[in-house]
Amino acid sequence: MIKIKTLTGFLWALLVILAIPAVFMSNNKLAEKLVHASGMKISSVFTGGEINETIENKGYKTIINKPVFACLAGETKKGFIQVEWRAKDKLPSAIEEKIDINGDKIPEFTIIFDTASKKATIINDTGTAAYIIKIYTLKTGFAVRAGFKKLTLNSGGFEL
Amino acid sequence: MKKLLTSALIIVPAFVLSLLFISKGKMPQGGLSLISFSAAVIFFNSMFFMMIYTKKTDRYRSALFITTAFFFVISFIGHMIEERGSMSFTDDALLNCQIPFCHIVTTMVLIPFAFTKTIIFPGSLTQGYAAVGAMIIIWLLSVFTIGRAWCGWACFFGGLDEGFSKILNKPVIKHISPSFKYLPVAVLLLVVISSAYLLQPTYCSWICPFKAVTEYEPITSTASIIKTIIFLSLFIILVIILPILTKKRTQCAFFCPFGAMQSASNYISPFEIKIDVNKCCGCGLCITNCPAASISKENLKAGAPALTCLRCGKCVDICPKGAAAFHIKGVEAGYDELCRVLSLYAYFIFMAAFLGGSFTDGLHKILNFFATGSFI
Repeated sequence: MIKIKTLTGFLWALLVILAIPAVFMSNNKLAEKLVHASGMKISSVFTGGEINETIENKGYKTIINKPVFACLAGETKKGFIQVEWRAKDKLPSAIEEKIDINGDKIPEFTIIFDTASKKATIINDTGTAAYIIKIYTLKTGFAVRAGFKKLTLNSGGFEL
Repeated sequence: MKKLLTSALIIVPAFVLSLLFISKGKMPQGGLSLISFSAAVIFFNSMFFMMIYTKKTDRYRSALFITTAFFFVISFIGHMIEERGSMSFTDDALLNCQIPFCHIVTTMVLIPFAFTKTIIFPGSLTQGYAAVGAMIIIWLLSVFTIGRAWCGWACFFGGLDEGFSKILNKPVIKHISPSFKYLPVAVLLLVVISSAYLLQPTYCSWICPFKAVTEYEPITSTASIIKTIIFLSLFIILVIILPILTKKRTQCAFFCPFGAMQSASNYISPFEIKIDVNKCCGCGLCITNCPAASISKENLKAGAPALTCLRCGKCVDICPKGAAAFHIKGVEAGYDELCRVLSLYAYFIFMAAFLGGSFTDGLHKILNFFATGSFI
């Protein structure tokens, strides 16, 4: 006579053996459900943040993302902003982009990008200590991440 | 003859399932595809048949595991070259989050996900090759089913150091300090804490040896040169030299953070290895031959290998007294062969479902190379 414990053990093993093909067969659907149900997203550290503004220029467009202050809990003081230039025809040899981080219509710094040498420089317009973190070479253009330090927070957002 | 027929009948369900997974539900089109698919199905099932027929596990598992790792590498590199033209990832792939997600990253994304609901990896959530969601589902499945047998049967990297560990007949380095078994836990803690603090998968960015055979950051800065030197050195030391000298899977047993985390899932899995204390003659063959250094004298007294056991079956095969056996938790003595067959079924189906496609694709790329001069 097989003991209940033994029988339970075999049943458990059989369930596991059945679960393996079942899960593999529905893996894509389960993955979508997992992502949807958990609200999973890729960290803005990698995506570069949400798009804040798209500016259509002659021959290219500028995409300015929202500033990212990602950390494990809350926000970090050091953040970055990502700016992309995507060519529709051809990028100009030099691009000058004024960046207004806090939306007060006063640009905090200006990124000057030389598309031929792929070099970027920053002019800090309001005493902001912004700096270039990385330049990305894309299929149809370039992206630049500029880092800066958030000094104080006010009720309207952040102040540099 | 009866044994042959019984073994053939036992593998029929596994054969059908492996056929389904390796073909991905579609009959392959074209001569080379058909050849690589047929070769994969025949190879997988003949190895499984031999495990059942000969009652020996490790020899056939190992052949399957090593070959699969080799074909995975060919398949992965080919895939990257097809997509990007190079093994190094592009800025486009990074910013558009198209980097394939590997199971080792799981160790680093869980805590940041718990806090921020975001994945700290530039991969696709549901679309494309090795998407984050799909890999997490497969990992969760492994936790509740095969446990750390993942490392002995399903890890597409593990076969590489296992392959190198088989080169010499006898180990050159015979004694490995038992304290090394805590090293993977230390690596796990280090990468978990640093990844949570920096919101970067630090193991992948800095110390993953398998970047040497998959993909890596383009060498464009001092930091990327240092990273390249580190991952190449670790690959040469941990995956090639030390496995050859010790006949152990040194990367898996002494460095892999995923292995350290996955060990805990051996508590949940219904399958285990048991050592019958009354049958054990204390010869120590299992201690010296365990590729993961998971058996010590204390384990023999306790009647089970350490939690780090990979379920490879080496100890079961090598034990002269039949003291080590595949076992299902809760099952009383006297069902050894049934326990073994059920354990192997779970491991084999998982392996075929997870790695069958890579095997076929890798083989197809090699055949294509000989036929056309191009892997792609």
